[in-house]
Amino acid sequence: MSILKADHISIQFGGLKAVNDFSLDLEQKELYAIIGPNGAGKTTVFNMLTGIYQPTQGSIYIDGKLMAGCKPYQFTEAGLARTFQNIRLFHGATVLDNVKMAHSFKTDYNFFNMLSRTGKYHAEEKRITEKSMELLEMFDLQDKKNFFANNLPYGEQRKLEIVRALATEPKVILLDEPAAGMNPNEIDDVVSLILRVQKDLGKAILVIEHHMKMVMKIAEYIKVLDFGETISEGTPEKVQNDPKVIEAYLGGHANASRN
Amino acid sequence: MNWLRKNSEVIILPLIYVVIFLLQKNKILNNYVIQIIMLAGVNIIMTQSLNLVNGMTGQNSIGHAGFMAVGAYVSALFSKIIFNAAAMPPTMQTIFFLLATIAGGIGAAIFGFLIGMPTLRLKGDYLAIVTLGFGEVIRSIIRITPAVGAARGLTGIPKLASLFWIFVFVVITIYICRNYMDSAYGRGCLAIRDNEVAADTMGINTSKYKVQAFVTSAFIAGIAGSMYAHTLRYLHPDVFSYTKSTDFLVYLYAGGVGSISGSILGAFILTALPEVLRFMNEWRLVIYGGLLVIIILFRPVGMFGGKEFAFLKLKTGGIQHIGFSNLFQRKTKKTIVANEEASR
Repeated sequence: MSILKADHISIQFGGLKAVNDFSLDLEQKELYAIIGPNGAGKTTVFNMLTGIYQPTQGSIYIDGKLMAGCKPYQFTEAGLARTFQNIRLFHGATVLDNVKMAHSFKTDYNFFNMLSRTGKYHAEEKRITEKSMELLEMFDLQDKKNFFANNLPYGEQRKLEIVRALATEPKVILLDEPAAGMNPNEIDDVVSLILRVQKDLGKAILVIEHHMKMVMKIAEYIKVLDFGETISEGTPEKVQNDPKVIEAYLGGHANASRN
Repeated sequence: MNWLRKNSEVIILPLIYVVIFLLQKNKILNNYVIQIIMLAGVNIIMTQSLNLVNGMTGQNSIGHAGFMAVGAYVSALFSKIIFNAAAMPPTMQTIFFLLATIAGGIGAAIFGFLIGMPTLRLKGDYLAIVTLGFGEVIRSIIRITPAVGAARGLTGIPKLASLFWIFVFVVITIYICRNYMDSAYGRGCLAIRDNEVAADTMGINTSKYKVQAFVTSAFIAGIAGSMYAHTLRYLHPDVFSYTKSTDFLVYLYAGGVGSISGSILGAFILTALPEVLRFMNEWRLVIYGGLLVIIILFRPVGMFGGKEFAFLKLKTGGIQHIGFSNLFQRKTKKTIVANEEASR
């Protein structure tokens, strides 16, 4: 069964059709990638898949559940988590708190347990802290748990964003340019991190990335967008050799035929 | 002994009360000073309440005196007109005072809900405009309502609040705010403050969290209103003007927005300061204003921004824990981390 399914979704902003007829069917442990030139509508697709935008046409299913009209937090409750192209950490909080914040919606105590600090509160807080620490340890951030999130080096901020996304215990993770602004060493780290999340933790992953080497290495299936249209899709080999893709990236069919 | 060191608040807080009480009993502090202390207590409760919205959730409520007015008038009506508490024996008076206070809190909370529900669903500064308007609307309504004394003000409220009760409510408020901030609810609010879009995609129902914090804040403001009414025994609608709201904002931002300790000390110091400076006559407000400018220039985060008393035992927010001994001491990052380790 598919974990994340987009069924012919389109979105229109006034007269502009930003994304047209986009479909996707992501199953467990699969790693898909969306690529395309700047302004192709990749992030718009992400925003639709996470509920920030409502598609004007088509529907989205998470784990078989129709998500029409749902708010972003309901998408997360249904099992979807994402990271952002421009890092959006909770900068005023520590690394540990960032991860704990992502546990908020799963906390099993009510308002009055919280105000009066009953046993349930203490038990839950302990569970959340332990779980968060487990995640931080898994990704070698445990030593920095008391750092403010915006004091971390850039690469680790990206990492923390992924860890925080994992803390919501998602079935599928959407990564928006996880390697943006990184040097080759850091990119290798991100690649191994993503593969760990996919293989060891068994999450389905959808990634937007501009770094082609990385995409070709990790993605099992690639969708190429240009001006909101899906111009090509398939395995990395197939996409790489698709003249339409080459045209979209390099412009003009003359280049394509010469290659 | 070790338990005591870890739970110093069970000693410190009663001690503060006992000291003030003894000073009052021995006539070292006259009634005027005691009343200033009581008003400082009311201001502490108000600033705590404001801190839940402005500091913790990152929303802007700039008409908080409106909620205080609702709480003050509802509780005053409750104890004066409905139950005529002045004619009761003291124990009954205390019970009705507490009931009136809770009624005031609930009244303010209802208004908080009605205002928060539509405005907090939006992202942005709409709450500021709406609360500003709310404060003025409430004031105007009170001015034209004969049942609550209209523009003459409401007189003859029984003096039920005492130093003891104000102290108790200050402590309860601090306890509630501490518990709030140090929980999944508080963390959700902090997440909204830091990045609302990210909070939304982390499964936090942003409008629900914001409304919860706002209603709690309004409830506490109502309680402060009740304390105020039963301390001064006279309510006038113009007391709860925009200037009053601004006072609380000043206490909060000068004390340290987001910091519970900052709101306590900010409210206390800035309430006491104009009184301490009273010997300077007309110059006192100049100095008061000058001090505020200095605070904002040299410590934009407020006097105690990012710091908390160790006895509050706050774990959230990456704050620096300070004991009474090192209140004004600068610390390196290393010691902060070490302190954090020790406090966990």
